Amino acid sequence: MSRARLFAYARWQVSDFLVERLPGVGVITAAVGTLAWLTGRPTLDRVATLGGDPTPVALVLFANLLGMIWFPTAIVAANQVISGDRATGRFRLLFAKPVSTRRYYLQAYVVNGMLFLAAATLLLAPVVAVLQVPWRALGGAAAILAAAYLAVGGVCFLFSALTRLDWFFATALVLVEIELHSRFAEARWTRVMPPFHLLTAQIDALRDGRGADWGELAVLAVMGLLAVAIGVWIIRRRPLAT
Amino acid sequence: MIEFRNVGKTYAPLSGKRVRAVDGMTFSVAAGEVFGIAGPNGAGKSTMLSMLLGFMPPSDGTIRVDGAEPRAFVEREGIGYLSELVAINPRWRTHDTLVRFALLAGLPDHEVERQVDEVETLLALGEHAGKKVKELSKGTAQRLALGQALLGETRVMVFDEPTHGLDPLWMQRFRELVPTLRRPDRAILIASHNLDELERLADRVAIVDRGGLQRIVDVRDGRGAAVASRYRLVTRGPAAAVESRFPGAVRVGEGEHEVAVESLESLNAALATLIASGTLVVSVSPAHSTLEEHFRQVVADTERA
Repeated sequence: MSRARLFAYARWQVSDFLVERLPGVGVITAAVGTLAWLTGRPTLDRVATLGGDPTPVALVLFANLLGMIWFPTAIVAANQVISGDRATGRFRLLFAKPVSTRRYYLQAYVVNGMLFLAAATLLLAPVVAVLQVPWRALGGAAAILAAAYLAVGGVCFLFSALTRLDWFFATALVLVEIELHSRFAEARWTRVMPPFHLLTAQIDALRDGRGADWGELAVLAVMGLLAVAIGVWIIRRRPLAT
Repeated sequence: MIEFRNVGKTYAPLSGKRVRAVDGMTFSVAAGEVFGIAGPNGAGKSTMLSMLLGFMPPSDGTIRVDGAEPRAFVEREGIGYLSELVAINPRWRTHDTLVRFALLAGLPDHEVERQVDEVETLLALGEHAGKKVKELSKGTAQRLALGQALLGETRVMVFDEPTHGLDPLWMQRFRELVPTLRRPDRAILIASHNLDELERLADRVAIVDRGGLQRIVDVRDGRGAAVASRYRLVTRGPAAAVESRFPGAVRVGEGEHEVAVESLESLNAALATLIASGTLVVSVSPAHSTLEEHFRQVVADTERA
């Protein structure tokens, strides 16, 4: 009689991320990065030819790239963590073992998040080098991606505990909030929604060469972790087979 | 060890009508026992097992495993479980799958290696060790699923249609395996359509139909004893000789009859006169197993009801 060795099992969750999620994160980042480089290179070349400082242009290109990848890569890294096992019936053999479902999925969320952050940062590094963006921008990007994973991934985790269409509902919620905030920024009622627009504001700050607003990033992180906590509570309450 | 007390389960979908899948089920399985569950498709077997593993709660009644709620028991000790539908990530490799499940079973590193090697040898999975699950044949995937169920030292084992997809050789090996899994502190449940298998392996068999427990047959009583009411008789000689000594005998083939008897004594007496008349008796065997007779009766009764 013994409990699952979940910490030792983490290496297999790493393996699952590398096989199932990393290709998606990589393809999105590489495709958008290549697009940013191809479309931005003529401008960068022109600025260099005229003897100007290419850094502001490079920052714009880099921020645009980040603005395009933060959401889809976070969704790829975080979706179907729980609902995938429910939909395929894989939970049956997994959770006949002495495994705490809450700990198992919480660990998957953490492992996926750490690997997502490491992979996305590593994939952005060559972009930073090629575009000759100041390296500190990579740190800012990593902070934004971490907040994106915590917030979007957290909401996705919560929906995944409830429904197979977690990615759909998370996408809808993020898009609706950002759109509503852009139209009704001053309206109080928009404040009841999770503040995903703070991520776009952080990317704007990166574009302008300003530093990250750690307070806003912390708000996103706390919001995401709260969603994860609710997700864990749902996992505890909701039957695995439904 | 396992106790179902007046357990019921109703599925209430958001749309569509409510379905009572299990109703008023009461039985217990002792440690050291091999308990079979037989029933036609849709009888409620899978729902019973899902509740036993804590994958869903009963709508009413209580289930206890070693005195605990099923999910609490599973999270504390685990259950050696082979599901009817083998759902393992198709990208995982055979050997890695066993290592993963061994870790989830809580085995220390040296035991992981030892038990995985043992299971690979026992179930001839070594030659498939590097293959992905999606590359395995149905039978090999079934053996892999069986293998993961054997990892660890569980006090409860549940096999749902364990020989589904296995060839006759591996069916036989499974039948040889089950007696070796018996332990005084372990309860083993086997749900199967294969009545012959249950009769050979189980001590008692619950026959379920339409969500209800229809009867529990103690197959130990019947094993080796001729208690069947109908026998298949193979003879060499005139058919009329058989039919005159066994009124109501039904000819089922060349030299083969199915005969009804009231007791062993009447069977033997009729056979004696048949042999004395010069007919050669080639074989006498129960037309249906004891369990099969019970099963037929139950299904017929519930259909009538």
